[in-house]
This record gives sequence, C-alpha cells and structure tokens, in this order.
Amino acid sequence: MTAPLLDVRGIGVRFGGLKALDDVSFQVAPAQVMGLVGPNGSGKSTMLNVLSGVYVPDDGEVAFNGERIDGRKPNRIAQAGLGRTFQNLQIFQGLSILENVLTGAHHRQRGGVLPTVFGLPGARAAERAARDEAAALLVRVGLGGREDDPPSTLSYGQRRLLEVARALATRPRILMLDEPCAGLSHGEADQLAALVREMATGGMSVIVIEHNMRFVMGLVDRMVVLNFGRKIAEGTPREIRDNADVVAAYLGKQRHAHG
Amino acid sequence: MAAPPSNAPPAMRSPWWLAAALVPFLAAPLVISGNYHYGVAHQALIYVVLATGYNILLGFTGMVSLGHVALFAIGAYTSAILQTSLDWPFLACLIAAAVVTGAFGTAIAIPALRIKGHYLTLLTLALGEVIRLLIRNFDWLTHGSSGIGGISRPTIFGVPFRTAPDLYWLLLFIAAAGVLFAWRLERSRFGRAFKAIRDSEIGAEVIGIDTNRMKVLSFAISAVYAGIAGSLYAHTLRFVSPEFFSLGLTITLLAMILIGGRGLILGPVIGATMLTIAPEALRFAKEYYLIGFGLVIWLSTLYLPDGLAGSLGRLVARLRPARQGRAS
Repeated sequence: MTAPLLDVRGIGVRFGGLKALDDVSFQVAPAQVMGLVGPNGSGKSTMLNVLSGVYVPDDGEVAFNGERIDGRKPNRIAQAGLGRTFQNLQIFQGLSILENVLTGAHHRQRGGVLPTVFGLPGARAAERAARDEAAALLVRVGLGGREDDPPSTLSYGQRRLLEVARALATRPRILMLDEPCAGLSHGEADQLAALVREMATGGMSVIVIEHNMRFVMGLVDRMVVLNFGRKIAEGTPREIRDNADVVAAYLGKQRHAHG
Repeated sequence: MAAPPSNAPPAMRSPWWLAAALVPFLAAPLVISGNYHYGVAHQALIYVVLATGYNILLGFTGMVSLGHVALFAIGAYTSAILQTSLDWPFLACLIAAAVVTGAFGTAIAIPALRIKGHYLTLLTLALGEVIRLLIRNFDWLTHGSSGIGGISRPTIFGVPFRTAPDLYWLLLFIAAAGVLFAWRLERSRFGRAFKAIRDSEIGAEVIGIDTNRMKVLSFAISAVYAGIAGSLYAHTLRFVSPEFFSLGLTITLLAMILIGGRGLILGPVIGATMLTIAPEALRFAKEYYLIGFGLVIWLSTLYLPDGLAGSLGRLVARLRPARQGRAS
C-alpha cells in the first residue's frame, strides 16, 4: 500500500457514559474508495463528524497528508482538502442551485469586499472562473441547465447530487459521502456510483457511508465495518462478505430480513 | 398553478428592479413641497440607508441584533461632536462616523460569535441600552440628555446642500449608492457566504467558509451603514439627543425589514419608506396609530412571510406568461 493520505489512529468519542467510538483505526490511500459500514448507531456518522471537524475526538488522532487535523475547525479541514456531504441535507435554500455550488469555491476566491463589490478586474475574473467551474460541476452530477432555479425545485435525490457538486467545488482530495443513496432512485444511484468511480480514477479518495449494500459492495475497494463503536472487520468487499463476525453483526440480520 | 416555492424566486435580482424602485424617488420632488414634506422625505432616505445595512445582518446573515440603533446613535454623535466641537467639514465627519461605527460594530460582533439565537438578541439588546446610557451620562462629550444642537447642513467642497431640495438630492444619491452596494454585495461571494450561514451554519463550515470571520464582516458592514445613516441624520435634523435612539426606534427598524421583506434588496427600501411616511400621514389617528402598526406587523408575518418586496416579486412572476424558468 502506498503512503496513506488519511491515517486514523485509535479514535475514541464518548457522549456522557456512551462510547460512540472506541479505538477505531484505519487508513485511506490516494484514489481509494473506502466504504464505512455498520448497523444503525454503530458510529459511522460520528466518525465522519470527527474527520470533518464537527466533533473533536476524546482519544486518538487523525493525520491527513502527514499533518494532524483533529481538533481543527471544520472550515480549516475543508480547506486542507476533506470535503463532505450530509445524511440530512444541508442545502442553502435561499441561494440558487449554481450559487449553492459556488459557496464551495468561496475559500479559494481572493479579493476583499471593496474590490469584489466594485468589480475590479482580478475579483471579476475569479468570479467568472468560479462560475464556469461550478456550472461544469452541475453538468457532471447531472443538474446542468438548472443553474438559476431555487433548490426547492429539485427532487430529494437531486438535492443529494447538488450537495455532492458543492463538496466537489471545494476541490477535495478526499470526499466523504454520508448515506449518499438515501432517497435516490436506482438510476440516480448508478449515476452516482459512476461519478464516484470517475473521481477515484482522477486521483480523488472517497469515503462512503452507506446502508445500501448493493451500492457499497459493487463500488468500494476496501471496507471498514463498525459495530457498537468498534471496528470489527476491514478488508475487500469479498473478504467482508465471508467474515463471520460481520455476517452476525450486520449482513446476517439483512439476510434474515430478506429470507 | 402550483404553490410558489417557499423562497422568493430570483425574479427580483434583475437590475431593472433597482431602476424601477428609483423612479418614485426621482419623481417625488415633483409632488412634494415645503419643509415639512421634505423633512419626511429626508428621513425616509436616511432610514433606507440604515435599514439596508441592517438587512445585511438580519436578512442575509440571519443574526437578530437589537442593538443596531445604538450604532446609528454612535454615527450621529460622532458626526455631531466632530462638527460642533472641532468644526470638521461634512465629508470628514461622514467618513469618521462610518469608521468609528464600523469599529464599534466589529467590537460588538466578537462576543456575538460565541452565542447564538435568542441569547445573541438579548446580548445586543443589552449592549444597545448600555451605549445609550453612556451617551446620556457622558455629559462633557455629549451634553447628556439635552443633546447637541447647531449642527450645520452638509457642504461638500464648497457646494452647499442647505435647502431642502438640495439636501434631498444628496441623500438620494447616498441612499442609492448604499442600495447598489448591497445589491452588488448580495451577488458576490460574500453575500453567498452570509446566506449560507443563515441557511445552514454547519453546511457553510464544512465547505470551507470561515463563519466567524464572515459574521464579523457582516456586523462591520452593517455598522458602517448605521454610521453613515447616523451622520446623515445629525446633519439633516441638525440636532441629536439620546431620547431619539430609543427601543421604540429599534422595533420600528425591525418592522421596516419584516414588512418590507428581509433578505431582499428592495425590502428595506420599501419598508423604510412606508414606515416613515405612514405615521406622518396617519397623524390624525394619534395613539391609535400604534394599534394599527402592531396589527400590520402581525398580519404581515402571517400573510407576507417575505414581506412586501417578496410578494411583489411573486405577483410579477405570476402575471408573467409562464416561461419555463430554465436558463437555456
């Protein structure tokens, strides 16, 4: 394995007496698609909140590209190159669809208030470049032509794709998707899977939290399985499928439910 | 036709709306005359500046500060003191008022970063009252409750704006510039960041927006507007006293935004103009005016959730033949 881009070491998070995460470690390589799976309440979302700086872990550390990032503020982590989406969407309803994506470019745009408001050439060129890039991202997630509409005109699944485009606008090196398939049709989910593959081919790492096993198994290079806040397995989708602990904790239940 | 979306359509973003809104102000001198009418018009324009700045904080960034009138007072007193004690020219007073008030606004913003929602509102309410009490008690600087009189009307590079119509045109120019600035700001990365914070603070943070910095910026910009409005007030009314900058004015300012339409550029323009003219026009109703005022605020929150400006935008969007609103 090449040097890890993300190195998660012994992360622990406690909410009162409850251990939401307990000594969880894993690594993500460049251009790798990593699945983070587990039953409800297993700590997947908590982990994502630690990685994106929303929570500060009680134990352990997170290194991104060789630098510790745990404890940094979320905006600094985003600027360093970790982008994310939310399970419960955080769309900016008062902005147009294009403007939502443009907010992802905010931290890269230079120029103070006065040069921007007075439309000085530098600020104007930066704005135009950001708009072009944002429009191209909308096309990439399949929302081309909807730039000026309000987000309320999008379906639930399309709003997820809008959040993906907005996260991509920050130009992340690792994109973290929290339950990206919830609310998506089969067609939309396949489209998203293709997009994730394309991004990984382009060198981006992706961490996917997902319940939809069909989606995860066919998409990811490696998986980390959490249960009650602990890592119970790690490996390729094939290895995970054959892991007795995982079958008992997670897949077993599903199989049972299906059969 | 389907129910309109909960957010006002971007219909009002066209610069033509700004131009259309300017027309009645350009035409007003044709119908008004006399110092009394001009006095009301002057005040309306000053409140357009104040409310436009307040809207950047309240409407764009979503932070409810009830201390904004104190910033208005600081601007007015800065200008009044510099002019009457040191004989500074108008333009210097105006710039100083903007700078001093901007600095105060930034100072208020820093504690505001740690608290949110109702607590922020209460804190700013308290800070506003403290500033008003300080103004009343610093007799040596502010002449206490007797106020400062004898402030002269503006003169810019030797050009006097002493007569009511001349002053009207000067105030209109500054108000229009203030609205245009806010319009440009709204469409910039800063305006987007402010609204992102309003709509989802966590969403804004994880895409790299420094929310603390943007909140301070929003406070500072709206404070600069308040400082300019305060300076204009001092040089227009030629008298300032602490009683004027009361809690009642805070409520009126809030109503200007809510009735006009918060978060929309024309909202505070419509709200400030209406709520300045209405009490004068309804003077015969005496105290009953306040009952009507309360009812209007109550009804507008029920039936005009995005204010008069938002409803106007929707009405126009609805009257227009149903264009498939896609940019092709």
